[in-house]
Amino acid sequence: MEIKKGFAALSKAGRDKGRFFAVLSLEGNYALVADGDLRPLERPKRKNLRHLGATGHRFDPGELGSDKALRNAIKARFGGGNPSKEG
Amino acid sequence: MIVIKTAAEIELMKEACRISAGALKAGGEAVVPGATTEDVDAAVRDYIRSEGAKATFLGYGGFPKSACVSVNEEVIHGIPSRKRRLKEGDIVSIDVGAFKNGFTGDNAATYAVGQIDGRAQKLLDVTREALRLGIAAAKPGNRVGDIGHAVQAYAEENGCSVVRDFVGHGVGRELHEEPEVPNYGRAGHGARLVPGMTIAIEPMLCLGGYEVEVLDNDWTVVTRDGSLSAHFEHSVLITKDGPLVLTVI
Repeated sequence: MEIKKGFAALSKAGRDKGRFFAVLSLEGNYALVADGDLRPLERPKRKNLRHLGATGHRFDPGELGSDKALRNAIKARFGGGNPSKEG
Repeated sequence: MIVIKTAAEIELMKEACRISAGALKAGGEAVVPGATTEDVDAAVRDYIRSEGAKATFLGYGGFPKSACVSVNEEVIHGIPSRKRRLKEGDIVSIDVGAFKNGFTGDNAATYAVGQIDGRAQKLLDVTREALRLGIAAAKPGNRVGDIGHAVQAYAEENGCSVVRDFVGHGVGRELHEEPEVPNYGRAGHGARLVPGMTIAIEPMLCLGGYEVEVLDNDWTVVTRDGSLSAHFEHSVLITKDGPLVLTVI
């Protein structure tokens, strides 16, 4: 399964490992991803495709319209949303 | 799995925590108008080295410095820099751990840079008191949720919000052990606290909303609305007689 724009992806490496993101765009070997939470839509994270796992879940366009909508969509689809981290 | 420390292990951990507390104090003494956050880190680093210990955070997950030094709207994981100069009125949180003899401590405090305004002072006072109340709730037989409930109730009663995305944790041979110790929660829920557990309780409170973001350096956490944030932390041993703060000099 490949990483696709508009779909959810799971971070497999890095400090955000285990968190789900929406793929906003693809640039060669990288994707711009956001989760509407620690990584808002207006400031997506650039992640190497090798560090992302495809999920097959496609977000509705409306779910990518705001950080709140995206957070809720991730929470609804992936059971409880993204995990907290130790301080 | 939650690790219960033996008496011998606790003695080793007390030493690491003592050094952690000393390092935090050294960092705090470097907080003056005009100092850089790198100066604060240097004070921490030099102290830890003088005690024959290692800075736990240096290299942890790739963190480049010995202490997290977070200014104003930065909640945690600020990276010390020669370019970030402290000015009168700022608040700065220092988070530091020292590793020695196989164990680490973890503690933090927020300091005023010179004179700060009333709202900032209130934030510091409320966060410090929230930590004290969280520690008081860390009694054997209580639950992790009792700690978070105590912190959250006090914080919100006093007009502060509680960061949700980052939490306290078990601490010992590793910086981050089970269980997670959120600063919010339901009394009577979560892992049971038993003697021999060692946990880091660390309220992170904000004057505005609780939502946070991570900056592009992939470390520094900031409040989304840019409001001030404070952070106080102690490593605590659960004993049969109640909580014992380990990060003391």
